[in-house]
Amino acid sequence: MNALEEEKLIHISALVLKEMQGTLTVEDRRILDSWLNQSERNKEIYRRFQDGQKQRQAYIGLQYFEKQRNFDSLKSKIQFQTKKKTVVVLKRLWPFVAAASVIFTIAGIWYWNKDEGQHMDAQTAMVNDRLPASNQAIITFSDGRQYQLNKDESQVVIDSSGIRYNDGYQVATINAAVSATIETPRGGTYDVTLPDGTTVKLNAGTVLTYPTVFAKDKREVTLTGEAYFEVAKRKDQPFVVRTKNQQVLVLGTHFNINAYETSAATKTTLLEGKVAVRQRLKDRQLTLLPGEQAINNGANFSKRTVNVQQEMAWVYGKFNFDGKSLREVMDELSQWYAIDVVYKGEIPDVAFFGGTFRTSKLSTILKILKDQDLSYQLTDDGKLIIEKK
Amino acid sequence: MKYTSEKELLEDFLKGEEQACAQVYNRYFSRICLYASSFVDETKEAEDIAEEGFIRLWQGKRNFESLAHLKAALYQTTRRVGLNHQTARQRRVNRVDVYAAQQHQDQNSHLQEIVYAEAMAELYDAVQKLPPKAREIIQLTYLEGNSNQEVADLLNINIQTVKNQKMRALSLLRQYLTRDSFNYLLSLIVLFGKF
Repeated sequence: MNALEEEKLIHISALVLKEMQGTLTVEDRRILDSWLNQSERNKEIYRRFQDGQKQRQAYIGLQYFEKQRNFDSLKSKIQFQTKKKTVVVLKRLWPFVAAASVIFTIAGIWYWNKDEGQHMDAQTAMVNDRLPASNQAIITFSDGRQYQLNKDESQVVIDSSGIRYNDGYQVATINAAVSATIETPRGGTYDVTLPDGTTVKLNAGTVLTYPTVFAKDKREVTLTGEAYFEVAKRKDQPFVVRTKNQQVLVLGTHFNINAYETSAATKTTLLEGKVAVRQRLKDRQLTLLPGEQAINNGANFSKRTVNVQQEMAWVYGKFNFDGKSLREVMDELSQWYAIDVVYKGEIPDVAFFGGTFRTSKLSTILKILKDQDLSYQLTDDGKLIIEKK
Repeated sequence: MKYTSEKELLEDFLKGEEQACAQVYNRYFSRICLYASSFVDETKEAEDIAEEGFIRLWQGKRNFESLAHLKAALYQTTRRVGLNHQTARQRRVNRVDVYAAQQHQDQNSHLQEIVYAEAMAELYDAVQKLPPKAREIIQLTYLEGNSNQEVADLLNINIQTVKNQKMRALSLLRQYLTRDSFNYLLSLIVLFGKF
């Protein structure tokens, strides 16, 4: 029995779930989009996943059918299949209607993350909007020279002769400068390759300071904000990242540090290799293995096992809001979209689930707030005012 | 007996073992009903179509290469049963040429409904497979719209416990959704073993 078409559609359904979680690959997206573009009907089916009412109906429907499931009934029919089946169809209404009034929206569990201009409703379309972060950074040398990096480039390479873009185009020479600082503003991001070949991906609102020539016995840089490091292996010259309350010592590995001035704790997440995190205040040290995260809020210093995919979502161009509070979600958005978040009244206590692409416009992401019964307004000067409905 | 390996379940299903048939039926019945309900208006009729779909699948040539193939075939059979139901009904009201044109259109749109039934069912299953406490919290908060404080009062537990449980439930849900059902069945065994 050939059921290729059905198998393909089952695969599409898996892609829809993947998209909800923000784990869709480029190839996946291509397949999903080509299905969507096949017909209006497909687009309509897809839109249903965004509709809280429809999701609730499906949930209650499945729950209902689950109760009707009765293998004995099937068994009896398999054995006595020749017997003519009675075709009396009882009128039974969907159980949905009655239940719908007590059941709150499942939409809060996830939200849809495709940037669909045509589905944008009036309320969303009317508010101001913000584009996602773009390639922006400024390099300042210790001798005072300052360079605004090109928006059309995304990566600078630094070595003993100077700084140039990935394509070889020169930005500046080192001259007498002993150190340099690369800073991404809020709403800006950039990649840097350091003199030793280590690559650093800077998230928005991040400052990285490094010497133009590394010391013989160690490679030391200073960070505020968030960055992902892929450190070049050098046995005798450990790599050290200093942040306000700790230092991370590595030999050659992949890891992420989240150390914004505004966040309560510095988080160090290890993907590969091994790092030692030393807390400055009490001079305690933790060694991390892949998949572990050190949390340092000054007073407390501990480690835990984390979902690396979630912690590192930004490196892969995604937001992942699973289990995050409103405050945590907004802190992230405020860096990426360069907005200031203002809460009217107390900060509502809601948790989020789901993810989206960092290339989305702000308005697309803010739809999740409506599902949580929050209203919002974005002012001309970039203030996002959030209020409980 | 519960199968924990997809291969074993499929082998026994092909051999005609009742246990395997029961497990396939229990696993897919509600999603097939949800699918059937996209082309009929009454729940009872959807259940009848789903059941007939299972019967035909069982009685047909069971030469499936994988469980995914089996599931796809089940959708296909169910769609055919559903179309027969519709045809029988429409024949009574419509002229033949009209319904023939309509049927072609319907066939294709019914086919696409698989995406909806499958994705919703996978999500539903993931919620059902949460540990009892976590599931209860998800149902009370997200599905029934209670606040954390209300749930805390309702279950007579600390509000922080509610928050913690909620976080844990969401992160579990996410994990379950990223795996196929067999894998999360196994991971649940591991999980419950710990507690």
